[in-house]
Amino acid sequence: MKKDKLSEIIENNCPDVKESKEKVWDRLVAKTGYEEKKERKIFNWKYIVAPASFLLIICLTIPVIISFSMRASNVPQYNGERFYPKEDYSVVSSENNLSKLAQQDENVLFLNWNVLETFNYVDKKSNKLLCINDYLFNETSGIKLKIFVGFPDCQIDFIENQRKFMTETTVISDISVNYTKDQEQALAYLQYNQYTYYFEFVGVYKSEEVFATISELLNCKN
Amino acid sequence: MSLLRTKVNKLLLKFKNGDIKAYSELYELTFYRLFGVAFNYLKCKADCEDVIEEALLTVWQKIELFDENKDGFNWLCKIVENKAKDKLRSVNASKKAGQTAEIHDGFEVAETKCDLSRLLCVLDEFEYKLIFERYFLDKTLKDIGFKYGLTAKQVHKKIDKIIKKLLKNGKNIFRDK
Repeated sequence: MKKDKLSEIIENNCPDVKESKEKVWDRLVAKTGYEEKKERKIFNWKYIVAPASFLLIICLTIPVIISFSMRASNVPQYNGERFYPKEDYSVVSSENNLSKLAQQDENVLFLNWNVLETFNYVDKKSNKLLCINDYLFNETSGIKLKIFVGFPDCQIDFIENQRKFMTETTVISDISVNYTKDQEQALAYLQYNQYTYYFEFVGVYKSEEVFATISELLNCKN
Repeated sequence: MSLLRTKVNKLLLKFKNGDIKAYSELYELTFYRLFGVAFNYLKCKADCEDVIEEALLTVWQKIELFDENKDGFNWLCKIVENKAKDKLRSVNASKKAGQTAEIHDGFEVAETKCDLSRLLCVLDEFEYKLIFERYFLDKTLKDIGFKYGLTAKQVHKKIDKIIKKLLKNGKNIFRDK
């Protein structure tokens, strides 16, 4: 605030009053401990902002870490095998069918049927091939079948979900087969040489036809 | 409320809320005025210093008693006035008690040495009252005029004239020195 005229006149013309001003201030500082208190001010934004932002970062980070770890812990673990939820893989139409894979890897079984369509399941990040799905048709028996072959150590979400419903088991060619069958479709699942095989029979078929198809697959190498 | 009174109220409130820096700003803003208030009673520089020191120490210690809805500058002036009256009473009591000569000598010496008394000595009683009420007590021109049966414009003119007189007197003080 601008000094008024009289204060200016006093300051300019009364050096002893000006001196009194300084003297009284010094005495007040000594008695009140003004300088000391000024140095450790109770509240200053400068000192509040840094710890507050640190606290804010902590408060934001901890829930994120917790939510991620909870999410991670919710993902089913299969003895070191990688589980692939839907958002981690993509499905692409491909020429790379089971018979081609079988040529490269003798552990892979395949049915020598007509291939109507083939899809490859690919890891979005690494482009690794996870599963091959052939839509097959047998001209002789008229069976239409979707077969999914999952690579070793790969667990695809929808196959794992369907496995839960396959409560019945049977043994075909020394291999344990899980299956289920209702009036609309038949499903089956087996593991062979670390590859997983999941079958969706499109249409209504007898159990014998389902087992015969699986047997044909298991004996394709003979 | 005048600009000064608003500013004083703000500073007192800031200080009450823990802003220590406001205390020194308050001191800068009000010292000469409070000195003038004390001087009006005591006419002695050393006594005025004591009174202001005590008054501002009271402000420091009792700031929680400050009511922000009331006039803070008035509060400060009242504290100084009361302390000055107390001081005056004790000085007078000492005089009566037979220490008159010593104290009186001290009083006289202090009075003649104080530049403020030399500065203001050129004013007659009425001029001094106008200046005191306008500058030290921060009263409005209208209030002063009402008290002395003048218009605000007349008070303004008179005060302008007094200020010129004081400026001239100030120059004379320096010339004398």
